[in-house]
Amino acid sequence: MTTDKDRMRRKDLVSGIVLMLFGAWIVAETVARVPMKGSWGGVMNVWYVSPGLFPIFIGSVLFLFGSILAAVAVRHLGLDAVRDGARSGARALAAIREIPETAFRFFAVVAILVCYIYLYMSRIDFFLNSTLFLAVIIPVFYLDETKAQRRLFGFYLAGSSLLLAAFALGLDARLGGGVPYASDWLALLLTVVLAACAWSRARGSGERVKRLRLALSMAVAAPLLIGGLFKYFLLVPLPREGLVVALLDAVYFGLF
Amino acid sequence: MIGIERLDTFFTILVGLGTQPASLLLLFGATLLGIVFGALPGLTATLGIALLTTLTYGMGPAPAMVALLGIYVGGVYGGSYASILINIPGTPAAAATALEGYPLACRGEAGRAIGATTTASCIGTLIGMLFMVTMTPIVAAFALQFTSFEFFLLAFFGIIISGTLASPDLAVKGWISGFLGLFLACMGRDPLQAFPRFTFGFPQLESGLDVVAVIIGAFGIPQIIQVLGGTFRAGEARQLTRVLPSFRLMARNAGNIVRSALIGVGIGSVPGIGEDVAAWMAYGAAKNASKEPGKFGTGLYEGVIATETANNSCIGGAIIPLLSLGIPGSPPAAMLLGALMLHGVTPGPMLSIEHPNFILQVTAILFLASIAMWVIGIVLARQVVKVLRFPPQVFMPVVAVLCIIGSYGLGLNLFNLYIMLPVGIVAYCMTEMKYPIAPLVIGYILGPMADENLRRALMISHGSFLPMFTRPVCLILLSVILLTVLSQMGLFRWIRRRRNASGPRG
Repeated sequence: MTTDKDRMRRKDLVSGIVLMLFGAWIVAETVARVPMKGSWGGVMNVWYVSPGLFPIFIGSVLFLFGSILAAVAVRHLGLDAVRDGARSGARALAAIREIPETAFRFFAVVAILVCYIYLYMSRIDFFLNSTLFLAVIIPVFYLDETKAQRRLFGFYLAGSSLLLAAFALGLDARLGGGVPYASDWLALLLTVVLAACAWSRARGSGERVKRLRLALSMAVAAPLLIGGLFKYFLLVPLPREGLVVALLDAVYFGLF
Repeated sequence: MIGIERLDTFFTILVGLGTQPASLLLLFGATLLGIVFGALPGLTATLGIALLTTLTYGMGPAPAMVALLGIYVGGVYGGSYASILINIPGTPAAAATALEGYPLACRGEAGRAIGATTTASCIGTLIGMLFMVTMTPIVAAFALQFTSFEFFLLAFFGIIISGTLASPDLAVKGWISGFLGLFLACMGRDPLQAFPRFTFGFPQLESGLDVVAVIIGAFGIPQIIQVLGGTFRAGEARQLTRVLPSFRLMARNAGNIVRSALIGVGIGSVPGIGEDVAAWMAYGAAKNASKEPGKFGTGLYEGVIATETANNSCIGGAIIPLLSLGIPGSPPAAMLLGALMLHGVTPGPMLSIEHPNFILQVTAILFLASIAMWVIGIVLARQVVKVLRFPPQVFMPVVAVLCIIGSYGLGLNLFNLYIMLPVGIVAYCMTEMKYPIAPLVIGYILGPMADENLRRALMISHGSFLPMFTRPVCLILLSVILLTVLSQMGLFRWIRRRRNASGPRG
């Protein structure tokens, strides 16, 4: 019977091998790119002053520790168990028909964060970007109904893929010639569609409607509070200032 | 004479801070924020300090320290609220508190339990502060005689000790985590010759990875993924009754408080292990010392008082190596180190020379923060517990927005965000595989010190490692490192086996 410790040691075996490879890569990369002797910036190097000394030390120790970890794992599991484990692991992977709940949750959090930071942060107004992020991530994890969660997340991924395609094809820039803040309008449209989708899923249950109302109010209020604090109190320019910032600027500078 | 002068300076700083409305407001605000942060499950004092650091960037070092120490003290204490009221530790440091606190709350004594933990936390912080102010100058004066070899070994010692003690599984995982932190510190131009290492052609990487991006990534992102990725279920929330504890209860626990505070200070001063270990050890010690150890787990005041005294006294203990050697004693202290560096204060043996009153300033702030914590704890407990009704699935995404704008705000650099997320995802995977994260951050912070001092030492000795074996402090550090490593590699088990095997024959 496989215990938690066996499972952990299997993971240790994999991470040990990865660390050995990583340690070896650090050493190889350092040897290839960092001068161990010779002149650099007017300084004559000997091995013990070289900027490569410390990375080589780190890489070697990581290789050593990785091999110790792998050895401990193999000693705990036994060579036969490692071989069987690899085969059964491959079989289990092939047999997966549906993504398990925990894996779905992990990938959903990571995917939403990836879109928020890498796809939208430099392209969409910070307030709109954060509202879109909160309007999807809170309902996905707070509505507490697997079907609704997956559908909402699917919608978000589809919408983000469309926006990615628009950005890649330069449609936002072309639209921007005629419509100011074109990409912000597109993000706003996606947010509204997502909110409507979440609403349609929640409509049947009073508790879910209550939760969605809290989620959407938080999605609007939190970026205004946090962004407003950074922009107008700490005077930190936001990563991207677009439609909402222009609106807030007009109000703020009109008042003060 | 010097003692009286220092005492005079301390009181001048204390009165100065205590009579400035802006400082007091900042202190009470930060402490309250810390308590709220600590009370909300999933948010920790470390994350609180990380996020507040970004808001204090425009302040001078003194008000920034008021805010950061306030949130540190409040954050460590605040964890007890959730432990006692909903049986979910607000922070890892309060995990042991739940064992006795929730049964007490179930008996209708939640208010009294919170009152006892508030007073115990306040006393614990004050005892930790006393040790901090007396021990820091001694350790710093001793460290002034260190050369580059000692500093290299000290950094190495910090990583090995924190890796060994913070690891929930094999010690080698803690060491690996520390060395991964050292690798992260290697990225960018090297500190001696400005040669670019592991920059992969990105000009943004030439100055290295930003400290706040790495720390928020390592501590913040895994927590967000864990809370949203898991299925969070809290116990039924209990109501508060009378909060102020009786004098008799606290007096009866005087010995327990002193013992737990000493454990807290001792654990805190060891690099890298923090308030959670201190709390568990104090709980174990209280159980061993009790006349009725069998009753532990059924709701005993001795238990909650021991854990809360220890985790708060750990703050002072963790600040001792931080200020005297530049090595953080706990994860929140690691974040505090990053914040100090951002404010142009470099902790270490030279701190007393460069900023003569800094240690006294920290002492005065800790003193006032512990008082602020007690006042807020006793007066506002009923209001603070309302935050426990707020679902973590709602506030964690908001924390994510704060993490992101906070990481960006320091350098106004989008690249910080591009670094923060991968660091966070790797840290999450490491946590899932039982690699501790504190050594990673400590390794990252100590990396430049280790790199620079190793090469400088070898430069002085012309490439010879011999001074490492001839200098007394080096020998002590080296011996401790070797003994720690060998003890984890089964050397002692092997010796014991040999002795047992040869025993009957002899």
